[in-house]
Amino acid sequence: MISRFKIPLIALAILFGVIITVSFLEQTEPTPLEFDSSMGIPVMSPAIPLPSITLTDQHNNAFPTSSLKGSWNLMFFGYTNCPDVCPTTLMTMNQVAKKLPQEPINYVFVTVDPNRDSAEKLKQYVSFFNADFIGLTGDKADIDLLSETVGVIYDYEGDIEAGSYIVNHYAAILVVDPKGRLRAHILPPHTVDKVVDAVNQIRDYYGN
Amino acid sequence: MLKKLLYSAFLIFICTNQAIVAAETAIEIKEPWIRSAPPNVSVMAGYLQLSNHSHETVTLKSVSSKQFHSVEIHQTVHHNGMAHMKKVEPLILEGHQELKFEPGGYHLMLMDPHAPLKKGDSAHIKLIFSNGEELMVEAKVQDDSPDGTKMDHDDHHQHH
Repeated sequence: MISRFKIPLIALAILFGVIITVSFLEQTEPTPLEFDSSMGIPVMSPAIPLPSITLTDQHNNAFPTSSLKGSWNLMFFGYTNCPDVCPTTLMTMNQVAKKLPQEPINYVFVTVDPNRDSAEKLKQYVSFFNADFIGLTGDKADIDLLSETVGVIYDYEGDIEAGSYIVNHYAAILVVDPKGRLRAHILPPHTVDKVVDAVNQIRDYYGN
Repeated sequence: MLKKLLYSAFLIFICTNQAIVAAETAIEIKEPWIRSAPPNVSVMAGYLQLSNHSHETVTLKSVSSKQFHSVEIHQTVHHNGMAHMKKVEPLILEGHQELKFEPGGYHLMLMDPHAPLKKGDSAHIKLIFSNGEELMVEAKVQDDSPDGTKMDHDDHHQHH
């Protein structure tokens, strides 16, 4: 039985705990980095942790999202039957990789069309742009969990049963930090310089 | 001397002849190219520049290639970071309109190549217009746009 006098004390203790937690969080999360709004680079503050799921890479190996920890990552969601946006973006990412050769950055292509994009297909596709790029497929439920967490939306248009459809999809390049958290979106159009500058600024500001 | 004269006459003939041909077609197609793609893809994107030199509105009636199962005109539209593909049908060129196809915008959607097309290969694409003109262009497969502007949309905005 809690006495009448103890209730306010407990409430006070909880309030105190909340204040301490909030101020602690504020200390660990620096003032958000802001880009000019015309740049189309919204920065997440605090950063959003990726869900702990396991996808399949282009070599047919299990690929837990925790594998992305330890270095910065540029992530793009698309599909291999995408004629315009995906090749354009992957070529841009390849040029970014050439401009940032010293940086151990992972370049990750996640399919939002896992029914058609097998690991084998992704291997041929991704290696065309850069043999070091990572291609990920997996269960649609897992891909959905990941894409929803990071704010990537997509929908199918056409005859899905006949396998004849296009995928409208969010086409930002996502910046994932070395703790496996979404730090920023880089919205299209993507010039190589825009992406390189954004990556440099974000990495310099937040460190590793 | 006679040889030189004949040669000059021949050159003049060629030049004027070409000018006549150019003046005869209302629709002009420049810089056709196809974006190189992995060997296993079922769609490739082609780009070109269309100019309508006439006063009349001209509609694209059909576009085809013997090297692909079918060809459609699509436009990528970015809205809040979302890339939508819109089929453009019919494609209408107003009098004296110029329309540039480029990555992230208008493109030819080249579907189901009969054989994989590598960098350096080329495809013939036939465009038939409502004014009766039939134009055949040869588009080479390459990594980037022939004019080197690629997808630097930001730069375009700054210059114009």
